Amino acid sequence: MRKTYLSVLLASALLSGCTSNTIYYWGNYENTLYRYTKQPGADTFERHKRELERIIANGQNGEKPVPPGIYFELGMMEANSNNLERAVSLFRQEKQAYPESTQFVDKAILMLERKRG
Amino acid sequence: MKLFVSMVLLMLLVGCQATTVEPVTKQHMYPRMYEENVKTILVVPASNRTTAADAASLYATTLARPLAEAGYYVYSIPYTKAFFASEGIIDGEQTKSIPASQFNTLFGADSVLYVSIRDWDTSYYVVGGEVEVGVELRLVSTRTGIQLWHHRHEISKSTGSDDEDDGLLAKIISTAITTAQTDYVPIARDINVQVMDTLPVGQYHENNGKDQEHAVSLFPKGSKRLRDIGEK
Repeated sequence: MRKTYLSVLLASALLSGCTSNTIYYWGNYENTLYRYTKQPGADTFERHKRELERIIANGQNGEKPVPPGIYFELGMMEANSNNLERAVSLFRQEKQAYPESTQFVDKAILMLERKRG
Repeated sequence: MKLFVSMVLLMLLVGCQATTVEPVTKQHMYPRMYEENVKTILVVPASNRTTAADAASLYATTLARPLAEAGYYVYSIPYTKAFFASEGIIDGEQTKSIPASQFNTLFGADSVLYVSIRDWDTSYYVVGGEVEVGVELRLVSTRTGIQLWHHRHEISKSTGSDDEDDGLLAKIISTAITTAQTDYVPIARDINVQVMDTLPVGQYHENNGKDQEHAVSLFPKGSKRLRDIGEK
């Protein structure tokens, strides 16, 4: 029984290790996205956008990479603010960081260009 | 003495649980995940089976992080939602008639995650309250249409007043306040942590291809396999 107790302790230690030991740097991503989803508005939009910028800056300079989808999400926000050039450049960064996103990103670029006319 | 007895009881309980669960591995539960070598996950809009209109979009904000941390490429969930909305698809029920292979054609996705929100409720009783969140997650291959991984889990959190000295009225008021303030999202995040722990990890995780023998400690509700496997 002592053995099982020890293994449970060990398992929980490992588990708690996992949660703090993340692959990516996320900053406050989940919270700003949550607030923007719950109350969409200029203020929550700006806050979430700033957080994405911060995550990218941190990921580029820090030890942990930018998580999947972050360049892309900021790109979409830029597209919604009509900053199409920056949007496309962010989309390209997403593809560069995550080549498996190519088809998805290319489709978004195509839709953006169609929207631009 | 009381403490000692309850500690022994707790250890016994822990002991029981560990022995039933030990032999079940990820390989045994989710062999297809290892065969298909999934790299990317497309999260489609959730089916909302609750009366809370915003449950699906709020829950969606909790998914990107745990899926990415499990080593997968997750297509931007806010954009995917906007894309489906532009095609007139708001609720997950509408995605069920779309063949899974279509998501590969459209986005290049290896797999699609169907989410169903089953509980998103607050209930009150006289001196207590409870917030309950329940979700069902189903990962399906876009190449074969076969289910790769499946989980259903719910957590409820009591929001009653713990203060023994509070009068009845104070208890009722404090319960109403905490229940109203208790957000569903932290509970949803707890669910994700528990459920994603059973998911075989993807290419960006250091244990990719090495976690076949890892034990699965949480079982899908109503799983008959639990008993079959446990008795082996």
